[in-house]
Amino acid sequence: MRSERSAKGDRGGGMSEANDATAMSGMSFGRGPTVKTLALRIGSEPLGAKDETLPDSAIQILANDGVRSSAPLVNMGDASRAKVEIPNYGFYNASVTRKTVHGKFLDVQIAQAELLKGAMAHGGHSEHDPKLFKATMDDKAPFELIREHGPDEKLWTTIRSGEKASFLVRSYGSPVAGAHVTLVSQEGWRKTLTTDANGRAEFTVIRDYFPDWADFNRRHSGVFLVWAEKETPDAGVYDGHDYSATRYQASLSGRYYPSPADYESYGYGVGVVVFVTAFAGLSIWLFRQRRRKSFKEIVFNEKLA
Amino acid sequence: MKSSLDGMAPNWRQRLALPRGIRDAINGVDFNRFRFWLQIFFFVLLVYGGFTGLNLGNNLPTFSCGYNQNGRPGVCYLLPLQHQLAMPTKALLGYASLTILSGLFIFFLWFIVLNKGWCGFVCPLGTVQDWITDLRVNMGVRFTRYSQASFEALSWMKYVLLALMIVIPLGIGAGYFSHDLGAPYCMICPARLIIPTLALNFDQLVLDFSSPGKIVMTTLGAITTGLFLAGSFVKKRFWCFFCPMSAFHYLLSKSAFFRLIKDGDKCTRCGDCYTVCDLQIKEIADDVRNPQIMMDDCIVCLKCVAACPEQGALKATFAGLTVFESTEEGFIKRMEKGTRA
Repeated sequence: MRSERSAKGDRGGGMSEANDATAMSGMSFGRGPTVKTLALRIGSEPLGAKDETLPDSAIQILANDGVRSSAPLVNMGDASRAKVEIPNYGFYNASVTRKTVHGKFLDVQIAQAELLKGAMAHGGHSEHDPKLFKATMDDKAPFELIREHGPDEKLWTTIRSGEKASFLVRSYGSPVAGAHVTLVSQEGWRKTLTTDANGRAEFTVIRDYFPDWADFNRRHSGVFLVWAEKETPDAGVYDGHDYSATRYQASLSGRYYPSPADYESYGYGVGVVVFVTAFAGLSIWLFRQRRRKSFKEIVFNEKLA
Repeated sequence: MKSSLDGMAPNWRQRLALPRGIRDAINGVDFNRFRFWLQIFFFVLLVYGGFTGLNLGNNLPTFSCGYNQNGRPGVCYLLPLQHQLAMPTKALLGYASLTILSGLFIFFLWFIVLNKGWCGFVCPLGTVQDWITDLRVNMGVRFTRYSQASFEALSWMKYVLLALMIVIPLGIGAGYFSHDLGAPYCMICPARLIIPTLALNFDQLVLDFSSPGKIVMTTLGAITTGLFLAGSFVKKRFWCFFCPMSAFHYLLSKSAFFRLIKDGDKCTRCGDCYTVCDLQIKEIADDVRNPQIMMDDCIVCLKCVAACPEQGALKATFAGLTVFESTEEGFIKRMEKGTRA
């Protein structure tokens, strides 16, 4: 389960949503569909994000089979939470949108989350159905940011430090070229790229987890935040206010884990196997040689007699 | 001489018995060649079958290694069992126990078809050991046999490994052990390193330095693999002696359809069965009273049946029907072809 936060950085506002740890309590064995709790947060860095409220709103959920649903965003004082049911295996696309007019701009902020109902169950159907492994994209969304899935992605694939993380920016199902995409790691490292003609921006997730060996946790997850921005000349009226341009911002978050190269060694592994095989083989050979003693007859030395 | 059976209606076994010609053909088969090709078939199925999308489930009573992610057509039951036993104790004592019981039941349904024949004919790790044995034979290196004292001292190890395989995950679920000890038997099993490697997945050939527990377990796994390779070269079916799956099978074997039966009245104590037995099971030759002759170390490879010269002294049965039995003709035919011990 991921804690997902997204933010709009430079303009001091934005939306984010988090899938916090309490979501684990929504996961139980055999008691109905999986329920994830989403939290709305705002900020430009994962660790500094704060709770945000958005009254009278609902999370829109798109399943990988195209079924749409929604879940109310419940305001709890300074925070907003939504409980989302994800009954089937695969990836879901959840989003909530806020529109405001600032000066001549309509700011459309879309906070997104990629939800996964996955399984490590061995031998299950979910291991072999490729439809379940694809990212869920919304062709009706005016602006969306999607984490691109690799060809080998399954329901338990994780992003590791040092690996590529590729994102697609789309508008009504078509790629958006020239959008600015910024990725921020948990420790605050950030990079901004511009999408290519296919709407793609590819980052290398850096390693920023350097504990002492005794404190190292291979399951440690960092949270990355990524957002895409694009300005368009779309004009109109919103909520009684005129605007002459539209600024879109879509945000997404995810988790990344230490790279196996940080703690696994092929050299030592193969070395131990080879050493033990050789040592055991040599021991067996020496044992057999020692048992094969040559016959030594007693010789009477007449000269000494 | 009249038999008490004269004039009686044939029973269901007699009705279902194969015609004599087919029985003679089966009993006289080139057993080594038959077993060789059957083992290759199952090896390809269980190591590479997953590439075809085949899915046999996760309750298999044989080493279809779960760490062979892409090649496995199903999963050895020991892996999911250890994962399930490591669930929190509260969940384990609740509805999660149904998961384990249902898994055990499906495992049982698979198992009772072949009994411990899963070891002798199907297990890919067993097949690898047989191939290593063939390599040794071709190199002209003499094999090793345990002394009786060593045999008796070592034969309990499979039960110890079976107990640890159950106790450690339960301890993880109870919070006594770290999750780094998860799937403890799989971590030390040579199949975890060997089977994925044969499917060109080298991910398991590593030592994991992320925690003390992982260092210990992955090092133990590398050590047992090294011992497996050296041991299998000189000792036939070296790892089967220590395998907890073998112990697990034996605990359930009384209900299986496939049986190894001995008629002690026909046994002449020639000892051929013991000579060819890869696991050095003395009872196959010495015990003339107990018809259920399959011991806990037995892998039901049926080499003893193939090597026995006495008609009907040893036989393999399925649901009471004889499928393969020792015959003088079969023995002579196999000796002429050179049955290899």
